[in-house]
Amino acid sequence: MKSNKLLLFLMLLCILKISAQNTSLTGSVVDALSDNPIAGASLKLEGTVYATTSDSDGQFEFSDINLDSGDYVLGISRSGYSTLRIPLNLRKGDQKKLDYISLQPDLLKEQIQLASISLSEAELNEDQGGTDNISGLLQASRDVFLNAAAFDFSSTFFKPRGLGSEYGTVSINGLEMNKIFDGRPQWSDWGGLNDLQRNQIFTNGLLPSETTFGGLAGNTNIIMRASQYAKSTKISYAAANRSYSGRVMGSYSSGEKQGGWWYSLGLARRFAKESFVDGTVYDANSFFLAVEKRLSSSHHLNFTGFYTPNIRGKSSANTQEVFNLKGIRYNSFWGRQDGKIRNSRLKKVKEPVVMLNHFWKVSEKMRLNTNLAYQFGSIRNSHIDYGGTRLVTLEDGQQSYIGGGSNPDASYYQKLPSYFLRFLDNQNYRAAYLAEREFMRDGQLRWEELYEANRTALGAGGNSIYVIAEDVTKDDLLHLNSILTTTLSPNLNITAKLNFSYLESENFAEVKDLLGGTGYLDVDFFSEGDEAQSDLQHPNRIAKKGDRFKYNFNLEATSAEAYIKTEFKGAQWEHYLALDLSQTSYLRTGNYQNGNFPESSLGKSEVLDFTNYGIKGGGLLKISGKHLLELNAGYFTKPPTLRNSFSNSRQNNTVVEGISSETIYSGDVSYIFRTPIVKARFTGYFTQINDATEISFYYADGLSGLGRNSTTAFVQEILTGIEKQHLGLELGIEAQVTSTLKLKTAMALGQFVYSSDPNLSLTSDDFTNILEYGKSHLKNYRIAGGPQHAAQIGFEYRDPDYWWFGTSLNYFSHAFADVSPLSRTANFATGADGMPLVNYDENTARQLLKQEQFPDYFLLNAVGGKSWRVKNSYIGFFMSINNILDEVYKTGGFEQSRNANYNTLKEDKDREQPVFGSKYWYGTGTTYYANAYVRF
Amino acid sequence: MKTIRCKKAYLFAAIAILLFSCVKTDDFETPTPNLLEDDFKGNLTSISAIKGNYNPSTGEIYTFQETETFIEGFVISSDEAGNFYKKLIIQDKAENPTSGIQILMDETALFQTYEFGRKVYVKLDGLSLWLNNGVFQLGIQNRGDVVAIPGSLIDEFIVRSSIASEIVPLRLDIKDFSAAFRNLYVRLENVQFNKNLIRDENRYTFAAEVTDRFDGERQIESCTTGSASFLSTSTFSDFKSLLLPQFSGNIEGVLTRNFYDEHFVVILNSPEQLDFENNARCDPEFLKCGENEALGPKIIFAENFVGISNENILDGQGWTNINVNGGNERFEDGILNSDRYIRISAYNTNENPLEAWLITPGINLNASTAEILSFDLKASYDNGILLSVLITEDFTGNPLTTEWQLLDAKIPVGPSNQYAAAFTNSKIDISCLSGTVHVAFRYLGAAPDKTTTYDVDNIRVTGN
Repeated sequence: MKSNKLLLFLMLLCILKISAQNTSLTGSVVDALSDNPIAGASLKLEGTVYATTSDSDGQFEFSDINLDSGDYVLGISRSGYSTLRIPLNLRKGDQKKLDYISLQPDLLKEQIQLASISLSEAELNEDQGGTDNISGLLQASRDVFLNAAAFDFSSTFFKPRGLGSEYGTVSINGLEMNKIFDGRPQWSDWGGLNDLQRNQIFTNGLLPSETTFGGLAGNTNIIMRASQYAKSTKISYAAANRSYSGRVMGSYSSGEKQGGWWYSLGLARRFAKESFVDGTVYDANSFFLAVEKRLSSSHHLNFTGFYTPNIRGKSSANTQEVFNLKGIRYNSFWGRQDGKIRNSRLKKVKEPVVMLNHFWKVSEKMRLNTNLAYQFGSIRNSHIDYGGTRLVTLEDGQQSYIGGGSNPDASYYQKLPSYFLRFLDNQNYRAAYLAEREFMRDGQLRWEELYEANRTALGAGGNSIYVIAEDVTKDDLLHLNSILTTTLSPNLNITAKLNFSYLESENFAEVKDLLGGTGYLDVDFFSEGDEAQSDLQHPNRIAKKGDRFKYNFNLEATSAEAYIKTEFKGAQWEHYLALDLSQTSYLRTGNYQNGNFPESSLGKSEVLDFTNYGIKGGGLLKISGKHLLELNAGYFTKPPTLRNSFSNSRQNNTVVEGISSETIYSGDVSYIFRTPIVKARFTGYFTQINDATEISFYYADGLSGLGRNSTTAFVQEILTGIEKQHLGLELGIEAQVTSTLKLKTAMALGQFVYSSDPNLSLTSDDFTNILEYGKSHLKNYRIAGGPQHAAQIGFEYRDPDYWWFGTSLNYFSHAFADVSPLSRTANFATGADGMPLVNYDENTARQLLKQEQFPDYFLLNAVGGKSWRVKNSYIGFFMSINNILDEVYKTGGFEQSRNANYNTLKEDKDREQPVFGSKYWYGTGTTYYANAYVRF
Repeated sequence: MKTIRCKKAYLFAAIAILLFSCVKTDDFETPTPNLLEDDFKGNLTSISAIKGNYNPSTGEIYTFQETETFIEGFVISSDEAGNFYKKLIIQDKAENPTSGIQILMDETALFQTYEFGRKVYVKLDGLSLWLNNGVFQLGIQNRGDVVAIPGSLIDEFIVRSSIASEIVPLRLDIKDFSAAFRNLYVRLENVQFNKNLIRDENRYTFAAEVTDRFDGERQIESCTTGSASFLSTSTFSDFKSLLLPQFSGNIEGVLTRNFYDEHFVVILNSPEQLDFENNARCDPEFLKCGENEALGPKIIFAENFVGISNENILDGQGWTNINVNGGNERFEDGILNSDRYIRISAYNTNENPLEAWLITPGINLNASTAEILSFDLKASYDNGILLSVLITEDFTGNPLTTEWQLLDAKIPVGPSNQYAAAFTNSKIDISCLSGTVHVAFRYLGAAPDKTTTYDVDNIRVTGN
């Protein structure tokens, strides 16, 4: 056995030795205008595995090329430059030298890329109640379809292949940045650094990347290494009316300095008193620093650190009634204080990242990249808590908590006209009219009333009734990986990765502002006695500003992963195979002994362990230069996210019953057609996701099995055994009609449905046992979130005189409201006594439970810009206008789960204006984004 | 080159400065309050005066129109503990009040604006007055009802003054409750909850019993006069689940009528208005022979009313069953699921008061020891504890001239709106008595509001 290995080693040595006599190719790349060397240009011998990048002097070297003699094409690309393809004739043993290859700066391409990054970033910051979007991740792509998705579809919450961002990955310098808590990339953690994030490698769909096995929706690896930035200084200013109203951004990259040093820094600020939606303040700063040192010819060490603290005011989802009265800009979360906008629901993200990256060129054929990252800081989400009480003790020691305010939200259902008309036989039109008038006149939070209430309570010796509470997640994340890439033969590449991460996450609520009061009695207003205590260890505690209260627990997550990929590239046939194996474990530690769950809240939970594996394979068949066929398939499992593993993590250690990993299989086939004029891709895909788990929280009315007097409760809804099916077609065609005019079209036809009836159970601190409601009949309901059909036609005109213009008309349909799973269980037809409802009518029920489909709509977008070269600097300007026709459209919505049974739902729907109608988010009206920059 | 570098530095400085130019997000100071000014200069009338506008004989809603007049009053209710809902009760003076009224307002958490003791002015123009559930209410007329003032109009009708006075409660004994004191803040001294509500083995909550629908009404008794009334607590109050205090003391609260206008009730603003610290009760003296509850083998007396298909049969068997007020209502026979019992109720009798006695034939205790009296009671459509059980060694034939000893019987508190499901058994040690004893069940009701129905069954005396 041992001798066998030795033999193999000797053989390998032989191969290396032979190859040492092989062909080599060296040269340098320079800027066509300035003759400055270009660093970081990517060079590839097309159709082979040979690839390299130019160093800081613009020098590159392919040594030990082991190829047959023949004609090859050397492709040279660098962001900001036009890609150059040079035909080469290589003969064995040649020592070819290509000096001063000049690359033409492509101002247009750079601009367009810049535009797309900026614009998709604007969309990424919307987190409308969990609606998330991966379209922005596609910005680095050159695919027609994906460009359309990133650029023109994203504002509608269109998701390519119907997949949420938890199915895609974002890496920075090879380290995966998705949050372990919910599996989603937290874009705010590196937002605003657009100029420094232009080096991106995007792998689409199932394809595994150089740095990660990936999921279903692709991987974006953002390279933020100091040596990868070309020497430049850039300042830009953007004005807009989308997420923010202004952005100022500056970056400086040194290029190589004496002694093999590089450094790069960036500063940016984005701000808005309010953006498109009323009251949505925006205040974001970004800081970036990267320093790299060449330790020796084969070792580089890079430090990258970025800190992007940002604060953003959220916006409410509104019912149709509210929208009819106040329009699409209305947001109930804010009010004026001292004449200034104050939003009660702020999201604050302050999570700096520091990383060290070591690059070791072990040999010409082997590279080892080792990365270590540490992320810390916190994410805070604020809201008004209106359940402040004070303790009253009777002489015999009995305690009660009295007080509690009223919901200060102006769009609270009891303040809207529909509430006064809810009794069909006794409608109070006057009160409804007055409520409407009042809502139209004001309709915002009244901060001064909250202060006044606390002041009154203070006078009575009481605690604050209203406080601002923040839900805080404080993470410490350590992330380590090592990526080895080797070239085994001219056609064969192997990538292997070992990855380890450890997360310690503190989760708690904190008193942010006592609104004039002196303390907050930390008990649950809706419970009594011991049950009301958030922490039995410290009962009746008065929480002061900055104190933790309500809940307090830690989550720990550890994961280790091994990944290997082989890649073969031949002239006719390319294929790959990737394997992944990982181990993940979760643990909750309760720091409070919750009064509702004295036995199961304090201390450690059981340890949840998940072993996951995956395999992906695929290939590209080049039938001819024009026709290509691509095939990808994968089967893998994915651990449930931390969020979905503990059923009520704020209060206890209970693990979701029957929690298991998601099982995913997926495949796609593409036909690619390319000629110098036409580029087209046509793809069909199929994805099946099984054993998924989802937890949601809401207030339900009409629960059965609890007895007559308790049909309402604040519940955690746990859905297990969810199966989803995504299938569809994608099409993208672009035609370079003339050298300046390009026509493009893209289309997505998807069908994303639930393919099982998952199990539904409810937990709550209002009842002790888990309520099992059995199957929720979700099968064949559409998965909500953005249109499932989208299409585009458009054109781009690029004038040789450095100006450009593009416009597109986009059509969207098949967007659906999220259905309430509870209404699809047997509970819907069951009375409080557990017996079937007497007046249940099958046909009416079917009508009531029909999923709402949003109307179709068109969006017309335009973008254009111009650049100038002034001596050695560039000045550029671009502007985009979206939704020029000012179309009003819904981007998402959900049924309120309050009406949990047939009677309550029917009663509500029979009303002219339902009291608990579905809530919606709307797309923006006409918006603009204008950006000007200077680079020198 | 140098100038370019300078420019760069300037640009970066400019950006750095911009970074610190903050958007105001959450760094807000506590605002200073707008001081209320008490410069009210409108026409004022009194609460008692406006009540005259209501004609009780027609019951018509009176709506104030084209008047510049206001009333002033002091807030005496508080919804802080959830015991009042969407209403404010004001009285005319902070001390020695003479008249109070309810104002219906469509707003919760009123206590945070109109706190206890706050003086307010109420604009009458546009408000309507009626007598509902036995109390005067101001609100807005809607379809033949007076309903709450819509939230958006509250500021228009209710004007806060800068004055917040200490309310001196009106001292009152339960026996003196009358219509004149409705909607006033009163203080009841030396009162206690009825003994049957505070037994250790069955202590009632303020309003969290299964039978409590919207309000829990708990009988309170005056130690000084023995008169009884109710403390009423909302089932939505924050202290509904607390157990009733077991001792006697003082209560401050709003005197009003219960929802069905059947009787007076006192409503607390918060449990702090209970002052029950003296470790004492003022229950009447009960016969106390011992704690023995073990039934002996010898049956000295037993009556399960099996053969009593008509209460007249009892008259011939040595029982005394009489109405001492000269009315007709007395204990009557009853049957449910073929179980016979004897029932008394003032419901539908028009008798006020209704005092009825059911007295057993003589029971001789001379030939036995360790005698235990046992009986079953059931209370239905309960609106007060109206039954007592007594015993005598010296029955004169007339209950009113007989010297009785009160027994510590477990008088059940039944549901207010239906028949109770089960009987409650009492076992009382009577071993210290001798000779011939008579046991009496005394009902003291009054139509129409003291009408609890009692069923009596399985009266036995056992011994060794």
